[in-house]
Amino acid sequence: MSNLVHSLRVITRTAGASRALTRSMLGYINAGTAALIIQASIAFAVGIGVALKFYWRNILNFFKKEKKDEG
Amino acid sequence: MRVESGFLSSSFRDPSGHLFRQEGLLFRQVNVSYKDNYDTLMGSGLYEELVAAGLMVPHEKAHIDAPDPRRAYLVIKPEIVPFISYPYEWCFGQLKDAALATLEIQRRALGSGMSLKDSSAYNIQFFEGKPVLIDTLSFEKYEEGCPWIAYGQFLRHFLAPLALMRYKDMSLSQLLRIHIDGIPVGLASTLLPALTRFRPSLFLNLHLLARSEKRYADKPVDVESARRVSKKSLLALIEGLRSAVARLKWEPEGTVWADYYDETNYSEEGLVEKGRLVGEFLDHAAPGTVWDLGANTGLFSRIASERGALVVSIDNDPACVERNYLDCIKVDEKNILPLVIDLSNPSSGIGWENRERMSLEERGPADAALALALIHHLAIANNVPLGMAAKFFSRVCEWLIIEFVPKTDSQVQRLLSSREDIFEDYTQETFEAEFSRLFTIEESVRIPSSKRTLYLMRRKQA
Repeated sequence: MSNLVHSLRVITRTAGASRALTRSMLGYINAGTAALIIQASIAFAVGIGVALKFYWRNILNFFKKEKKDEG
Repeated sequence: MRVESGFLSSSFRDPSGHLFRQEGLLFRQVNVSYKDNYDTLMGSGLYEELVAAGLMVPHEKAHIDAPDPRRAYLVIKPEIVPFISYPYEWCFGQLKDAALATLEIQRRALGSGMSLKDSSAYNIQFFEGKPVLIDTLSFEKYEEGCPWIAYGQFLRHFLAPLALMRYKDMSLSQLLRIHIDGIPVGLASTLLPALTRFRPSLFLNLHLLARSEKRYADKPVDVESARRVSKKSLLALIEGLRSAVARLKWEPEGTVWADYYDETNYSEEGLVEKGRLVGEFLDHAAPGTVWDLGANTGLFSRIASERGALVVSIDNDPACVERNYLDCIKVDEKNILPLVIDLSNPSSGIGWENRERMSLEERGPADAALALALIHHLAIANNVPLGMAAKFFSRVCEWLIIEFVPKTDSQVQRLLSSREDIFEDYTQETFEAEFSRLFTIEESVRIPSSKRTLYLMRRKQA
């Protein structure tokens, strides 16, 4: 699984992400190192999922509409 | 609930400000360090939007002296939530709705150029039946590219307990009692069944993160190496979490007490008459607040709520409380707050100095308590002597509507069927004698077509 974490991070890096977080941005709660470090990777993976779901829904709607028009 | 500084003992973690009481009213000091964020919250339209959507409690500026004037920017007076409850007392549906409310608030905050800097479940309270944010100081200005600082806290306070409740056992919400800042993701990942690794949202947000935490645990890591998260990605993360939470569903079934009303030896007329008597006693006591102790699915809580009382409807069966909560949602019930609490081990004070989160008793007393079909569970199932039960009730209410269930009742027989009857003091005479030490018995009526008696009692003045 650590390979997967690494791969996701590489993907995020190659997607053009750059460093953004400075210590002053950290809040009063313990944000958790891992939660900060891999958040971009998780967000990226979730983003792909959300986008795929969106397009899949559009494709389904397209065919549903076509079927309705035929009917 | 006060500390030496005058601030509430639950309000010390966030340096942005603190809650305090003055002449019985609740106020919040906003510190100078939070000035920019407070002004942005009020000036961006986010505050009005959240209050209008019923997602946040409103407040007004208060013209009183701050307890710590050196650090104070201003003092505000938030609208009071009448009964404070905690996530380990919520049923599955309540924790889920609180999670969804938090994510909706974060989504709207990002739209207004702000972000939640904490996402503690303790910042959410149930007000008029709906989850609302009570911490006005939870927002900070969003900086492009910054990850969501409160993401890990959201997982610990909401997603981890919800997944554990859904996939393992409802009672695992009680882990929130020992983990004051939420259930560690690593622990949740260990406890969750393997099949949850095939759910992409749980795999990414819990199992993968747990693995990652392990990886970084023993290494010095510079958090500045965290990558940018664009606002678009952050919104996708929020949407992913929303969808993960929304997909966690639980239908209560096969519970010990959920079908209780159907199984008792009450005839339909007996049950109707019991309801009428409870209503009559409530009319006599005219309470503003009622604790329905051992409420089951809240049948009698509704009788109190119909009379305008604010009812805390307590039961130890998560399925009963879930049904109660879902029924409340269905009819937009604003006066009933269902909670999962085991009266044989009620919520104690927890957190720093055991004063950060209040015990059940500290949140009372109520004007009246209903203890219907409860005494035999305390006295026989839990071996609580009648005198000790009377003491407990005298501390939590002024008026007590209590039902005595004799040994000959089928429900008591059921409790005694698998144990020795060591309860020779469990008689109606002893019950009346013990309760008369602390209460005046105002009325007692035999419930028709049953062996039970309903009492209206009033606590004696000390």
